[in-house]
Amino acid sequence: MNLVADFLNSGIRLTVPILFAAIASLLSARAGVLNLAIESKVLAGAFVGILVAAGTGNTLLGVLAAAASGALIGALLALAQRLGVDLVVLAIGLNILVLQLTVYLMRSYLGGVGTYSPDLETIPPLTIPGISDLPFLGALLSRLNWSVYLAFFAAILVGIYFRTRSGRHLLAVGEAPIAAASAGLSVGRTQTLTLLAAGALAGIGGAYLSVGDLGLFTRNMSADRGWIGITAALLALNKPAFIVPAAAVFGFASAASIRLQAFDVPASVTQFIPQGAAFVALVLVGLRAKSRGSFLRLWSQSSRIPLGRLREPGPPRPEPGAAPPPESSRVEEPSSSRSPRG
Amino acid sequence: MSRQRIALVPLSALAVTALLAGCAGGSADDAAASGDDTFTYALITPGAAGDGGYIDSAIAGVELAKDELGVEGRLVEAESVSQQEGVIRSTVATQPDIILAPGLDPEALLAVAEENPDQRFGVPSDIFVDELPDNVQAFAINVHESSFLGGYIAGKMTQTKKVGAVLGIEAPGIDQFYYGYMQGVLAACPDCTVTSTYLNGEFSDPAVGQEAALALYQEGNDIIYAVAGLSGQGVFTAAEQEGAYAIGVDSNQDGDAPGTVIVSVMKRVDQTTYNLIEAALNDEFESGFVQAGMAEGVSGISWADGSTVFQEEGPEELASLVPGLTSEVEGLQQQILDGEIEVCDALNDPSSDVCAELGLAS
Amino acid sequence: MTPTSGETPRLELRGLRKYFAASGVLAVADVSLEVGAGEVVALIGENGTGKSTLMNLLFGVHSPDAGTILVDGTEVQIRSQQDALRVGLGMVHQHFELVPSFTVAQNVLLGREPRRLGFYDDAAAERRVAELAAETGFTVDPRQVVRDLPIGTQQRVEILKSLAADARLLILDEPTAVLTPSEADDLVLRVRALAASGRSVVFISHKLPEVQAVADRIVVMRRGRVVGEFARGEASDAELARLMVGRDVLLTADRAEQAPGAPILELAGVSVPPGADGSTGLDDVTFSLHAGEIVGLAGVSGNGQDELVEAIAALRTPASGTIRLDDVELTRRTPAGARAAGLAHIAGDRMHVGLNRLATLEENAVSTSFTSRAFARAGVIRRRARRAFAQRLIDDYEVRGAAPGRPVGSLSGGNLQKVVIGRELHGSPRVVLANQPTRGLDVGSIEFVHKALSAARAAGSGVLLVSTELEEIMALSDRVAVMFDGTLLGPFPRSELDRERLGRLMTGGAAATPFPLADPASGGLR
Repeated sequence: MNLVADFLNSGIRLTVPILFAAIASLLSARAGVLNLAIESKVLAGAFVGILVAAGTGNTLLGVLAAAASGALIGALLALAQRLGVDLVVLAIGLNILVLQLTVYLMRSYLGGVGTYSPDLETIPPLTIPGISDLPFLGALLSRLNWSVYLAFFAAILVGIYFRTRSGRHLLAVGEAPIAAASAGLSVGRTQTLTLLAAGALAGIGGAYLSVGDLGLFTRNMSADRGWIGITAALLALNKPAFIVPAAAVFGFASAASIRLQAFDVPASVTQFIPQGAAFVALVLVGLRAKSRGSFLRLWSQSSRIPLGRLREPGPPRPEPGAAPPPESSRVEEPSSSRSPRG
Repeated sequence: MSRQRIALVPLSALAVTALLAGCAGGSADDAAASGDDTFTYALITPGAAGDGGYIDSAIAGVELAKDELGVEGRLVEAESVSQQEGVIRSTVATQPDIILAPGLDPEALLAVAEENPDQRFGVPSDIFVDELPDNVQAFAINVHESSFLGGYIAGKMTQTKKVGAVLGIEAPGIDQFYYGYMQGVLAACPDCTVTSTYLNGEFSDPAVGQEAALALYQEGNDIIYAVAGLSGQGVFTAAEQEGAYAIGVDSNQDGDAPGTVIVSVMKRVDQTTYNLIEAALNDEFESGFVQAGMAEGVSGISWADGSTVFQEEGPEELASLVPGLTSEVEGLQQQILDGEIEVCDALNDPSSDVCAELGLAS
Repeated sequence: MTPTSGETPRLELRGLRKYFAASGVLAVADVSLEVGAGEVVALIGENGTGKSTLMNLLFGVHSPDAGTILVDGTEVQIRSQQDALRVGLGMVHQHFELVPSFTVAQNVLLGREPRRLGFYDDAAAERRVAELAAETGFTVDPRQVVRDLPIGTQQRVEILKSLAADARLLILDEPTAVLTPSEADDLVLRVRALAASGRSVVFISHKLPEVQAVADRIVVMRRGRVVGEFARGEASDAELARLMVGRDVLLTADRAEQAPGAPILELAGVSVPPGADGSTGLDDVTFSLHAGEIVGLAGVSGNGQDELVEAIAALRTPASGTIRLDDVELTRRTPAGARAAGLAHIAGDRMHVGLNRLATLEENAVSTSFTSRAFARAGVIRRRARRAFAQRLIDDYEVRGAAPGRPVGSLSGGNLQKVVIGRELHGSPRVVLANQPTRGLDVGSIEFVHKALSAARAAGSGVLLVSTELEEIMALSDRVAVMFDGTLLGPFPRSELDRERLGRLMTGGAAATPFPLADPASGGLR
């Protein structure tokens, strides 16, 4: 009996798919795209991952295929972004489409009704010699396979990446696309590659669910982890340094809502924990004017549905004369505003 | 600006079309086939097929009726509660001989039913209202009785004297399973403990089901009753990983994790659906509730259906108990049907003495 | 014409032409232009005369229909801003193209960052930018984050960006529009220093005094053509203005001396707390506005002017204090109530607040008075009266390209403002709030607005003129007040003020700092 270690272990495992989704959301947001299709990428990854893993008998191939399927949805978003399609509307459509498509394929070709449970060895847990036998650490690190470590490694990698030249370029593209374009950076290519990478990560998050541990697929098994990932990224202010703790808030909230019931905490209380965490996170983000501003900016870059009037976050006061540009008379000089969408 | 906005319309239309094509699948041709003299049904579900629960069961029921009884009909989905009333109305306009409506919003259903007294409605399971109009027949499936049998088997098989249950949500409909199960466990093993974990309404999240089961197994429980829809699949995975056991629910899940799922407590919505069609076809439609359970074959355990998966694949020391238990359970079933054993019904009669003994605060 | 005869000009345009088929406009008509090495050429002209199109041709936004661009005597094809930079042309736009959360060094070297071991090398970048800044005189701290910098410094960063890319010719598009007077003076010096170091500059502006100060040569454009070209000191402001507009322009408003009447608008102790979004509040503002006078409200924008205007227009409720128009307490009124009391409001944001761009001109013209008896009877709109009023407005104010039944969205900025002014000044309001009424307008429209405000003053209205243009404030006002950080300084009689004193007041009193330092408390979380 090692209650604390078991709880932490459970929390870590519930955090992993959320973390993958959160990193995907963070990357997209920092590149200037509001990516609300993460839920569909997680689900597609879970589905394709187990299909390929079962077909080839190789879990690694399954995870790679899951990454590819997520990246494919990312490519769809990137294409839509270039064509000027409303990404918010498209993402909502994609989320529904992938859900129903997986159900349809499962019924039509896999013979399963709500569940597809192939004969499959899931990814084996990593056993670290020496540590697995320790009482606390052993329990804490049991049942964790390499994809768990990959999630945390990816979070660190993103933090490092943002300090490289090409990472800087991604940040510039997301924050000031026109400035980036005028410095010779390709906004479209950067956003496309980022959406592909984000899709791949979310897809791996889905594979973690199906191939990684459970060895089965069920209808809608992503169970809103894509959305929770987006929330976690918001809570982390889209900063890599905060992304692990933010995702962990939700993973551990979920673990707590399960484990606390063993201590006679009524279910009516425990069931509030995950939702409560999400609520508090969003309120915190919403209370912070700057986060609100950057979310509105992100939204307006990705959708034409007005969410509210955007106030340009200016430099701190006193703000020297920020006169807007003179309006050029539109009849004589056609608008030359260069849209980063091209 | 406005031109770009217009460009969205075809795109979203595309998404919606693909979606409809994806899920409406084979039902379009069925609709066209309804002739004048054929008996027709319409099945309205509150979600797409593939829930692994009563929607899929109801669909299986109408498929069976199509094969066995030669009836024709179609499937209509009403994904959100706000759509349901409109969908029911438009279905009434197509004048099927019976509308089957499992799990719909009762207010919408009863309102439309009262307005259309000539249209027959059948509810295969789970409508939590006090009264029904004359044109509605509804099944209430007694899952507490069959859960008692499942619990009895768990009580006989547990080696740690601790058994658990993973429950989708804290609600009377789920408690009906749980308290019957608990009573069965205690009947077989008075000094056993029964522990439950609720999943906050997550019926399609096997990962959470797995974690919940894992927590219970780590506490020393060795058999878990999974009443959590698709999340139950995660319970089976956890059982396999921990070398422990589980009990399935709704349909025969013995084969989902062979040798791990001991038995399944079945709630035969497919059977009630079929029964409703058959009754209407034979002019035996009767309004009101039909309490049905083991006696009518709409509830029971998988062993009684001839499932021998666990007996063949389970570990020797438990599998060897199955034949003896099968006859014991048959005896118990008879006692329940005869009224010699009263099982707590947390849904319909939560204030009964048996329920109070189990600690159910009504 | 050739300034440095014998030498190859750095940039030469030969017969550039651009015709926009969609609108049927010949935006640039056979423009030829030369800029020599080390020369500052000012390009002046009203809005919509083709200056921007010309620059867009240089930076690959549009491609010319005819003509050639030569850099150092070689013909070049420019398809993007990158191509332009490659041949040595750097552009500093009016809206800066900076990444707010990056440091100065990171912005200056964006796209050409130094690397060490694959990582971005901050130290090397900062060193390089510091060297460049010291060399060119555009002093900045390379480590500061751009978001925290005042606009004037951001502009330097933008200029350094071009210089870091080895631009030998810089194009500055209306560079002083966003600067305080002292910053503008400094910029002129820096531009001259750039020219002295051999770089060429094209300086686009419509402010004639600074153009005269900075340029070696002044090129005037009108309707897509070059209509005049003068060496420094060859032409007076009046001549240049006449060439730009095509007729004589009154550069100083024609105003008769006039004794102010009784106070009509009185503010006492008006305070508004600062907003969560970083907006300045108001701190204990007290002053009165008399009938028949114009009080100019100067200040760098964002120091509380908008909050003050909104408080008076009853768009914002002050936390404390009173605002009385004659005997009416405005703080307890709705915006409509304030209007009923005799307030007219020429909103700073005419595109969103002043007008509804999707509505027709006649709807806009009566949008503040459609319930009045003139335009409605028993709640029913009197269409004919409304149309007649709109037509009169179009005629009286010479709103070009307008018809009563057409949406106003297609009108140019100057004509939109005429609609607003025509509506607001109708019916002799007691008080006129004019918030940045000439912002973004060309010389001809500015003249029109100035005349309209002077006429309102002559008719006995009290006018509160909020402007960031000192020339405008000085030309029109009887008294001048300055807003700084939510505090109102003055009003002072105009005769007591000169440019320098105003500049000091605008930047926080007598302090020697050329521009206000960022308040660390408002910097917030980053």
